[in-house]
Amino acid sequence: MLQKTAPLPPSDADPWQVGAVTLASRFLLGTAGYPSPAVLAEALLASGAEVVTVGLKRSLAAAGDNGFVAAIREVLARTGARLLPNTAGCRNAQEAITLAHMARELYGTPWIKLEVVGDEHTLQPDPFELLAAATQLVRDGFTVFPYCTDDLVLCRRLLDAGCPLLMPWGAPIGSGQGLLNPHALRTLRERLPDTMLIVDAGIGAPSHAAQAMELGYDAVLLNSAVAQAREPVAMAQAFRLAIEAGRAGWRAGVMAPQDFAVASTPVLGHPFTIE
Amino acid sequence: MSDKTTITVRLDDGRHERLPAGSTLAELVARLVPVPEAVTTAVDGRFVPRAAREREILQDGQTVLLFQPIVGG
Repeated sequence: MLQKTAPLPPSDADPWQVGAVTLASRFLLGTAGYPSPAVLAEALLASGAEVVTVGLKRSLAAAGDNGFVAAIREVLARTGARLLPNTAGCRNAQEAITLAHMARELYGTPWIKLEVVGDEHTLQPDPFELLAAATQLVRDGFTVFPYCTDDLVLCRRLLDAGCPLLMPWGAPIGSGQGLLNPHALRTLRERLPDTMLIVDAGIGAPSHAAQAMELGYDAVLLNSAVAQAREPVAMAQAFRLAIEAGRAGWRAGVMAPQDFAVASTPVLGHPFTIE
Repeated sequence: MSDKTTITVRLDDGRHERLPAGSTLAELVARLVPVPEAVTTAVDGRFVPRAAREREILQDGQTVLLFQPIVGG
């Protein structure tokens, strides 16, 4: 007899929080690298993302943004999504702290995605400068979303400094390689069971995002995987489904992998041999 | 170079702007951008909030950077 199973509640019944802000979508989406403002706007809408990352740039040296920022503002006005400014390009704590303060003035939010890059090639976080910047910015009243490596000790120090969540990388920014070290990410999940964890960077395919959610991560942040897809709007939708599916799978309880085969059909011995 | 009545500051696009001595950051920003509230500013790497621009007297040789919103990941 088939057992009736209650359907999983919609994502708005599975919210998560950053401080006093409650979010239904576990998909955070970046806004860089899209082919046009219209495609960016449609991708943001298709993603259902409620947190959208932006940056700052020097205004005289570079030309205008060709309508991209206006497209973002239009989507935010429609959806109520929130901005998460980043400190991209900063190489030390002082630069990141300064840029964060400038971002807060420009965007009117205390949220900051803290990026302090330690290597030009890998764009990996400088853990020492990151921690120094996070410590100061928390004191200055920021809600710090630290983009970090998967080092457990660094993560603990960031939490001790007052970061409300962590954003460990899956792979180098923009590389699309997926979760290069799922073991380390799993360790973070197990050792920090009460911490909001968001995989940020290196996601390439929807399956990568689903994998992160199946590990028990609370959300995923990505940009290039959507922006550089052949069809960004369709890809945004695909990621939305993958993140929801991964989350549903984790809540349903993924079976433990086995080292050996376990027959799923309950046969008794060989069907045509009487023993 | 400047005389006692003018100063020269460096801008973020590499060019130099000559100003009357005693000019404020607010006056410079108003000259450079149509909507001063649309940018955020730093002088010699130090963030200067909007409310402080009127009080920030620029000095000869300083670097003034203006930042605006942009897409980002």
